[in-house]
Amino acid sequence: MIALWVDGVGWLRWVILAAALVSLATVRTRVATWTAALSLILIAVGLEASRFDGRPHVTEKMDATFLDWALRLGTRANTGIAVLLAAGPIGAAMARIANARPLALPGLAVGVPIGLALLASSLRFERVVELFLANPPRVADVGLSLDMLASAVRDSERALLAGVAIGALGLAAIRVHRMRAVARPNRAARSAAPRSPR
Amino acid sequence: MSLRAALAVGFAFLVALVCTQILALTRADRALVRYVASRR
Repeated sequence: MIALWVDGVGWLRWVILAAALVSLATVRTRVATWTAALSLILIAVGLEASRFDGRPHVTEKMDATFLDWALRLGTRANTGIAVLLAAGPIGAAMARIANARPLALPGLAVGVPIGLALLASSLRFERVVELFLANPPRVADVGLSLDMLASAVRDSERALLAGVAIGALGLAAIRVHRMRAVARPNRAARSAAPRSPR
Repeated sequence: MSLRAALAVGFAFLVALVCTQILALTRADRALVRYVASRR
């Protein structure tokens, strides 16, 4: 799996990671909004590149469809790490644009579960890919256990859906907490104010 | 449209796109399972 990471699709995954690191390094500078935007664009590109295109990749020598998909898993893992790294800077940039409190917390609440889910999704396929690498030419015939692949896909699907759901719940929880925090001083001010004589 | 508004729209679009792509990943993986099954 590590070899696949290094030798796989190529430079794109590392550009995505580098952009996330730059956005993290420049979070307190004037260019923070732009580096966060660049990182978000590259994350979107990375997710597109890490998705199986649904087409068969058959060569004269072998059916490389599974290999094409397996190579995309490396990009998926790196995009997950990039989401983890850039979630704070992206959240902070969005808060700045919206004139909200410039906190990275909402970005982290959404980004961390999604980044972990992407990472878990690609790591879950490790064993399936190892089996494939042990016997690549006959993968579509006998080299690969369909049950094992289907089970890994189900687990990956659960992880991704859970990541998105936890992210959405985290964001909703922060929103509710902030609304209560805004309402609390008003209640305190009302109770402290002198009552009008009846 | 001011730069701030353009940035807000851009960020919102990209976040929505990323969420859609994550959900699309699951569909794409299922397509692979169907492909492998069809080759048997």
